[in-house]
Amino acid sequence: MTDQADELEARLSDEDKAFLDALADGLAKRRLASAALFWLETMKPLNFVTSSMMIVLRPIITTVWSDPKRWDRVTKLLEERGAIELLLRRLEARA
Amino acid sequence: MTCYRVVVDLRWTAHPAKRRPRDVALVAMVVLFSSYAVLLFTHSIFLSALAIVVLLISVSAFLLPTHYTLDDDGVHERRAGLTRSRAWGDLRRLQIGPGAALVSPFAKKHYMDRYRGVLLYFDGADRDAVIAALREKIPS
Repeated sequence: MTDQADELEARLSDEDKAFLDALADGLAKRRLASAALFWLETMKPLNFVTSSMMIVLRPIITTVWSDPKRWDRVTKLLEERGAIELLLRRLEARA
Repeated sequence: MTCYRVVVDLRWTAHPAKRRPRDVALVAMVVLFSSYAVLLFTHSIFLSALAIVVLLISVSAFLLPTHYTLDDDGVHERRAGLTRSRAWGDLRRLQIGPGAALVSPFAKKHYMDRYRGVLLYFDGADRDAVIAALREKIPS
């Protein structure tokens, strides 16, 4: 998992890295870093299933947000094995 | 100014069960007694077998050999074919006990230390050399 995460970190665009940082900052600011760590650690193997679920739910989401860019970005990131590990590392640094 | 990079290359295998056969007998007794208790209360051979599996997994660090490697990249732990690694850059805290050291990615004590960090058993290792290497690499 670590190798996959390192490989993904090297491949990610600056926008994606900044997005993960902003996501981790947002969770830490709301004092949810520890809860998110626990939850993400347990659902780490389900990254692709979660991504697929988000695609299924997208039509419902678009009734609230017409252009859910962040939703799409998370969906795309979760397709990659190692994305959750990258978010976990960012949360660890802020916990 | 000349910069020197500290080179670390330490490898050892921790296998407490090999060195403490009496404790293996104790583990076997506890596992068998627990599985018998499960069988007695549930009348299910499946649950009894499951109890044995769960208990053996929970004491796998004691029963199975664990190979540790400290190198320039980080800390690597291999047990039962599974490898866990943490890069030095991710590690923020070092906690040293009499029989093991915990290297954690959390700066403060955290309930997920054991899951996200690596517990390095000194069994079979040169304790002082391991501690020196960890102190060198992990700022605390």
